[in-house]
Amino acid sequence: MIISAGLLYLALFALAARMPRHRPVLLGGWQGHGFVPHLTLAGWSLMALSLASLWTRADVGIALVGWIGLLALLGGGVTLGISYCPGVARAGVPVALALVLTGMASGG
Amino acid sequence: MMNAARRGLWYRAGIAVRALCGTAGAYGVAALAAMVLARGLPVPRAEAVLVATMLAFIIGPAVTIGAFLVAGASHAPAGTGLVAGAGGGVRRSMAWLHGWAGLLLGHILFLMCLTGTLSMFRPEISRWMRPEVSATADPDHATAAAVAWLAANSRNSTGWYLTVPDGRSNVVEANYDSDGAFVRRVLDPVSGAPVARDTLGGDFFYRLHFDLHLPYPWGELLASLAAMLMLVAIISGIIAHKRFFRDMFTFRPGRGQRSWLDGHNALGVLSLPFHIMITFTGLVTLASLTMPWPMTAVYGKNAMAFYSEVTPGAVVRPASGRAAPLAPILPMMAQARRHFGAPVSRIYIFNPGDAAAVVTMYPVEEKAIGYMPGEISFDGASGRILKAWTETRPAVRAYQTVYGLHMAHFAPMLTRWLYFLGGAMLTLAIASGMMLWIVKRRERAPLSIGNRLLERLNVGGLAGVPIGLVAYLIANRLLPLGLAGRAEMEVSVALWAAGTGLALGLLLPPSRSWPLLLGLLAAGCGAAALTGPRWSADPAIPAINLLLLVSAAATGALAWRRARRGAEPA
Repeated sequence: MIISAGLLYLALFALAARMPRHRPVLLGGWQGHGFVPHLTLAGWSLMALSLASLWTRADVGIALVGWIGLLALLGGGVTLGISYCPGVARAGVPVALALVLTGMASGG
Repeated sequence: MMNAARRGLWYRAGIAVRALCGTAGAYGVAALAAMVLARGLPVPRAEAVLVATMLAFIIGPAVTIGAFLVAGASHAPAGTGLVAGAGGGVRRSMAWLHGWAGLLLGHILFLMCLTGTLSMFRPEISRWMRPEVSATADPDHATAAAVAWLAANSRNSTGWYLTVPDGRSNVVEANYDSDGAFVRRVLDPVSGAPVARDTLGGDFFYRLHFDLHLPYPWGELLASLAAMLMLVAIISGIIAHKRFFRDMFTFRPGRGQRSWLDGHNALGVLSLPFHIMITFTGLVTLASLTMPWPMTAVYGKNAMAFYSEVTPGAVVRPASGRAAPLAPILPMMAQARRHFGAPVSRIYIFNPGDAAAVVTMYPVEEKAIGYMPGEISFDGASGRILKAWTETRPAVRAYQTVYGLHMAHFAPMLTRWLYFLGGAMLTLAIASGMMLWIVKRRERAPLSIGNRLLERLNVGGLAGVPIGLVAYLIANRLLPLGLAGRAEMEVSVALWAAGTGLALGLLLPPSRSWPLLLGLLAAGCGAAALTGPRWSADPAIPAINLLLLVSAAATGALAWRRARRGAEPA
């Protein structure tokens, strides 16, 4: 579930950062970078990966329900971050990456 | 002038026809389609009925949406599937439907969602409300103590229905009849005797969620109708939302109507899969009452035949009239555990004290989402196994999964918190939608009498309901322990407090009632935390106190903000 949560946050962040309204807040000086146009594809791919990572679990149904809840939690986090505290939303990216790596290292 | 009047009349007639097609028509089409499916699906008849029943709750809202999508009202009765081309017209009609479907029973939906959200922590709330029960016993011995107490204290009973303690609940909940009267008791895990503090605990929130404290079946019917309207509101909201993805992460605070709309959209969109899931599964939980037609189409009046085919593991046998003591419960529980590979969660004892008594046990539901995945029945007098059943039929498992998704018995603590979050977001989405209705109209023109009444109803409903729930918690602390009818009195306090909140909301202008009621709510949350059990090794108790204090701070801040705004010159 840790890997899935990390990937989901990265997915939501990428999708939000691709939107012109949120791009300056989330990307700052990076907004003119060449990777920006590919963020939509990256976001949806990461979301698909996040879902796919659940398939390795024995209790896939229960994990899927948890994922739906995580979508609300992390989506709400990104939204509130953009509105009130963009630094925290940005800081979530390395944390999410660390979660993915930790999850991969610990096997789940 | 005449033409305008005629156009207005035509518009109203069109709305009336669409509304009729979208409600009675949609229900009729769904029922008819489900009856045809129940008779025609190439699976065993009990499974066909279950599948058809679930599909009825997809067909119904689809027909409602269709009735409002057709190009002209005259098409609606015949062509509920005729969709007007995509574009502004469709979005406008869907926005209209979204608004009205949400508004019509919005206050009921708010109550249902708030209490449903709290029900996620029903055992924990019950522990907070019964702090005297600090002793714990293992589930087997707690059950044995309860059975011994019931054997000595119930007379002429036809059944004992016991919920076994687990990691979240430390008491045995017993429902039984004694000398013809139905009784509910919460039994101490060590002594087996009823606990000192007579209260419904968290069960009050759970029952209020679907029976609305109305006589059967009116509460369930109203709750089901509200859930159906919510499903329609969700689907029409998706179609009406022009920039569904573009607005996904947008919230612009402090901008009046724009902020309310952003908040409503964000709450609705980010948790959309949860909202659809919880609404649809909620409808299915009340299906036997609201959609019995597939079953009637197949079984006629013999509903018992349907239920016995759905639960083939059940053993039904009449009382023999010969007295016989119940065999020891512990060996039966051990056998059940071995059979399920999981602990026992519920025990039903039919005809206790009779030679033909039957003891039926069900496993805990933490391995899979499906509700009641199996059962095992014992002869009550001898303790030998009569029948064991593990459910494997795909249609029945699908139905149980849908049911289990709503009940969330399977959910580990993290998932339970995520359910709580999703429920809270849905509750706030409903509340913000109700507020948005008024804010939007006030920014355009002075409010009509109807909307002014709704504005006051919003204050009374959205603040009054939580005030009632908090008053219930305070009553639990303040009412004397030995009071006769104590549990019922707690409920009365809750209803009177909510009613007073509603009355104040209706009587006072919103500029005064909002800060007053929010202030009362803040004070109530604080008082509940301070009068509640404070220091305990049970982590649920400080956690609930903390939540109450956070709620007090949040609603207090809101009350202060509203009071300041009310004091400012217009």
